[in-house]
Amino acid sequence: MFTISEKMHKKSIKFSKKSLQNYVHDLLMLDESNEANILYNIKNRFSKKRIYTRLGKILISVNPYKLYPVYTPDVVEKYQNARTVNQLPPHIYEVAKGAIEELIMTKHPQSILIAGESGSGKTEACKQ
Amino acid sequence: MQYLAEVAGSESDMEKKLLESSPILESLGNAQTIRNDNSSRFGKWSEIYFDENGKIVAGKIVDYLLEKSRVSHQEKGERNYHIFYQICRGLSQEDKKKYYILDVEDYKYLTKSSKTKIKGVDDEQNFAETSEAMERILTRENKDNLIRILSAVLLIGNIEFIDNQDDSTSISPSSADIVSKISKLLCINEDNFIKFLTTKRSVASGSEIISNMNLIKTEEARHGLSRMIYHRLFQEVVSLINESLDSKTAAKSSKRRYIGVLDIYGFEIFKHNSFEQFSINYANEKLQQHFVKYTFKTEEKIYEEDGIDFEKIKYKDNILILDLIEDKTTGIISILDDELRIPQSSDERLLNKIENANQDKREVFSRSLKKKEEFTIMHFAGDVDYSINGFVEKNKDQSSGNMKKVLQNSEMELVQRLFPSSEDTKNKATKSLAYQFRRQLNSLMNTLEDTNPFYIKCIKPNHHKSPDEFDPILVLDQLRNTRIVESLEIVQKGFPYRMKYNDFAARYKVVNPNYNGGNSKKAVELILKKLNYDVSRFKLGHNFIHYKSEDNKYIEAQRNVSVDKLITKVQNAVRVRQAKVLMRQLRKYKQICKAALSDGSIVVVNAALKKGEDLRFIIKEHRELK
Repeated sequence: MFTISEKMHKKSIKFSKKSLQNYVHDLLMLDESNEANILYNIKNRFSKKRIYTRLGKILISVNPYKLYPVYTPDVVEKYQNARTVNQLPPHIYEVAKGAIEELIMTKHPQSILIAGESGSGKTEACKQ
Repeated sequence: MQYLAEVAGSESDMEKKLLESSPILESLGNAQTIRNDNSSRFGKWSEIYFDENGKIVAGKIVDYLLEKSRVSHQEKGERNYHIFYQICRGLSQEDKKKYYILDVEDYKYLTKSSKTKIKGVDDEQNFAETSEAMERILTRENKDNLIRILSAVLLIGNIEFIDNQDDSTSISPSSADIVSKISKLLCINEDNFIKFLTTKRSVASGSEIISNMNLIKTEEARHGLSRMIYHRLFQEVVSLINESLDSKTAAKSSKRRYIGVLDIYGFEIFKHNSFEQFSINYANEKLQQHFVKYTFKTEEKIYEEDGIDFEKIKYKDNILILDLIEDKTTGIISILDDELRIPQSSDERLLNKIENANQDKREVFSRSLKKKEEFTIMHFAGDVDYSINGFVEKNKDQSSGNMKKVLQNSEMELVQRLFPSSEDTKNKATKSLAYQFRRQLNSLMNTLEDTNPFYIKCIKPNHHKSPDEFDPILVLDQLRNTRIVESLEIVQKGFPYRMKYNDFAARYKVVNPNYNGGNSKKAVELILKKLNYDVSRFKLGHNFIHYKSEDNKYIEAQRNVSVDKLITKVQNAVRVRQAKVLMRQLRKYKQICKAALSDGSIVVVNAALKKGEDLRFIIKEHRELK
């Protein structure tokens, strides 16, 4: 289906020992920004039910195919009251908060663009 | 949206309406595909407008290219639009009778793909939600009419025709009842409806000729009719929602204080890819272009303009693929449109033309050696093999003029709205679907360019919609294709945080207690000087201060510390003041007590005691007095 053969992929996925141990909220904090580190970081987070990862201003969201209790009113409140978003783990609410704040500050239209393949959770992201 | 609604709220329930519009659009515009149980088969751009106080005042939804072929045809393992199953399963027996609605299993449009149920989805329950939202947003009357039209669309698929073997077709006698029900549902003239189901109108040397259609043409026209009705119904629902969201107010408000949310169908690769996938993937190429342009080009431009040193990085853009698709003369869409003007159009000739016009784009376009109808586009997200078969036909925004007239003359208001009489019924050169789509997308891109974008990149962890499964190869593919690795690189090399000097000064002046006004570059330098930090990390351009993520973290932390200190100071000051006031009151009260003691009369003592009740401390004199 894809141009790059799967064999090549497998070869290129070599994890450094360090990358196996922990993960970061924001990919910018990775010591080394290679594919393997990015991938492993996202995988580690996903296995700990953390579906969101930040890349600076970009939010990466992995579809869990089930509902985690991360959209409750108290979570909304938590993000609403946070002084800076960086204090809290990455979340779709953080993006919305950023857009509102920027809108109020700059009085310039904002947009939230949800991209991804079919079945990656765009519609659900949009609803939240 | 939920967050925006909850945080912003409104005075007119606008946020509720905004949220309620989504189950309506989802049931009419989403369907199960092999890849996704709830796949959006249309693109959606929602603008949410705010007033000065950050309250929601209006909304506007723009829809993009609904996949109307799904109404009459679905691939194996896929379903038609959710709403059809919902009305069949969710309406009461009485209502079903009223609307002539049968069971799911009795409709050709719902059983062709042999898939009628989605695991874990309760159509009946979902209908209750859709129905409630419809009544509130579209009004009860519109909802009623909408169901009538949906019922008619399903019945149109059930009509049976008989081949008369002489290039003409007639309606099977067993279908007479169906045709009559459709006419009643749509409030149209039954005789005319019957007549134009099997005939077509053409204009020869100025006069109109009504001629018979063979079975194949009749079938095609019938499916075209149901698709056209459904598509227009969908668009009408969007405009009804917009009316209720006060979109006109939004359009008038010149302040453009809005947040737009774009949810558009994702990149698709199926076993068989046709015009629908071509259009969807084209939209995704456009979005990818916007992303690349935004993250890479804009970033570079800003540094250059602001006079900042930075390291350039290499990135791939998709301009060649877009040229292949949308170039005004040699692009696939233009060639496709040219083909429409040729009476005897052919898919094969079309493909030859496309190939000849794009010899210079071998990198992104190739033809299959085995199958002559196949071609491949090397999209940013992967190679897709398309079959050209049906492209010309699907690109026509076809509809027979006569049938439109029949529908225009309907006595139902909603049908009239779908087929306004102002619409030209003559064979005016109608624009093709791809042409309309290209125009819509370009207008969307212009809108987007005017906004400050936030990107959310969604990734699917496996192909089986299964929770807890993480397929590293699949995820890596998506990370590569969406340029996440390259984005990270550029962001790390660049300075993702930037602020105007006055904004920076306003936010961080608290860090420097000696800050004494001013918000120029000089003032910012002064603030930075106070920090115990390598300030050369902050890059000062002509108009902006640029810095990295770590620097942002540092300065934010400094700010929080300073703010906390400041808060303590303020609290101190307030407490000192409160204590002083209390002291004064107590001293005064002491005098009163002493006076009362020496006076001795019960009235004076009682009055003095009463005065002492409200004080926070009980003094010695008060006790003595008691």
